[in-house]
Amino acid sequence: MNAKSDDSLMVELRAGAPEALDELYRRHARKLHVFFASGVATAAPEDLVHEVFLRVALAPEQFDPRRGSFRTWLFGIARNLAVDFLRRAGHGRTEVIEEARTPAPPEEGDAGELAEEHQALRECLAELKKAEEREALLLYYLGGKLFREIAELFDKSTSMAQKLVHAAREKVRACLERKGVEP
Amino acid sequence: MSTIDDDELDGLLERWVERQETAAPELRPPEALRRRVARRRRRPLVLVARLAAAAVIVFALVALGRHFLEERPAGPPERPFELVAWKGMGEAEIVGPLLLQARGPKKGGAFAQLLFQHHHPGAPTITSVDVENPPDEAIELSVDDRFRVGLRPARESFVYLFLIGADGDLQRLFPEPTMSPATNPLPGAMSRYVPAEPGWLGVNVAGRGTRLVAIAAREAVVALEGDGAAVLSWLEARRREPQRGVEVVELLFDSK
Repeated sequence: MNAKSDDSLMVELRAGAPEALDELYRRHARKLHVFFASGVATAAPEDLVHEVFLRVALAPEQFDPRRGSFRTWLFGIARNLAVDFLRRAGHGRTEVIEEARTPAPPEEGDAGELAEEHQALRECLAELKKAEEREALLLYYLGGKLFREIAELFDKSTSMAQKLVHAAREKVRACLERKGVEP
Repeated sequence: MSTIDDDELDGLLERWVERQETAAPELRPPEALRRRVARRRRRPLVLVARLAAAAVIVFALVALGRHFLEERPAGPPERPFELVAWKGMGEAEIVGPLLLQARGPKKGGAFAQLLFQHHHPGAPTITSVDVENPPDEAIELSVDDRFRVGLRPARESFVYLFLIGADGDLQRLFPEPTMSPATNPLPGAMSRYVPAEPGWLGVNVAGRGTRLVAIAAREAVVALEGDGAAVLSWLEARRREPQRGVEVVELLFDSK
């Protein structure tokens, strides 16, 4: 069991310990993957996750624990990367075709209902027009419901962060109710 | 219409995020990145050890320079390999067998690996062709097939990838944010696919004369970051006169 804090791991990373990078990946890569796969219209969440950690590994000295938590810093990099990615995208002439995925066979019973519920939720998140709302909602649930972190990430006051998440939640709620999702 | 209270909405969102996290792939740091981190480690060295290390580095740089700067032999493609039963743009019109010829790759060059991956939609398998070691058997492509290119530079390099039609119409595939979030320079020994996984490019170009051109350079090549005319002009110049520190690999699609 590894009880080291993220801050301690960053100190080790600065000193040249690749094991610290392994552990940071283990702790945060999946959350970053969910953030990119659900929050950014991209076919390459894995690549974006690696890009985030590439920046972490190449400039660990830029992390200052006095200015916020490691997770806030990490998702700040992810947000900048996502914004940059979306801003630059859209000018290519050749269409990138997303991997054709074989649809999963329909599930029955509780599993089937759960799959439908998750599909509805995915669609409702995609319906959030403002990227900021979608990102705030994802980060809220990925990060343990801390408005302070959302506020730091979005450079807003805590009350503004609460309003942002609240607005996104209400839109998702209305969408789920419209779709007839029964919790 | 159903109603959902706050707790229920929290539960729904928490379950969904948890499931997405569970379903996300377990990613590990690329070995090249781990090595790069390890390079930060510093140990006290006595003067003699420092001098010895400096001598080794100089020796290695000279050897590396010779190896990397070696000029590429000009002339006909070294290893042609066939893509058979190419179908053209028309309605299942069979243009004829397609040749995919590789020019330029060499073992120990700037590319540690260059892959041409392709698959047919719905097919269970993806075929990877190592451009340095093409297979003996012919490969079958048809108009709906998909492909991507795997790039792995041997060392940190500025990498460029272009698709050039027979009419000279040029399309930049890398660096290009719609294809891959990666940017130059690419770290050595780290694989990148263009388009990034799970993306594919469709086989939708008229086959004859189309070229896929991959370039790895030690320094940024300004001309390759310019417009199509600048890129074509630079490529033509390299065809006449190879440039040190630059490796150009061409995959030429042509029908028999």
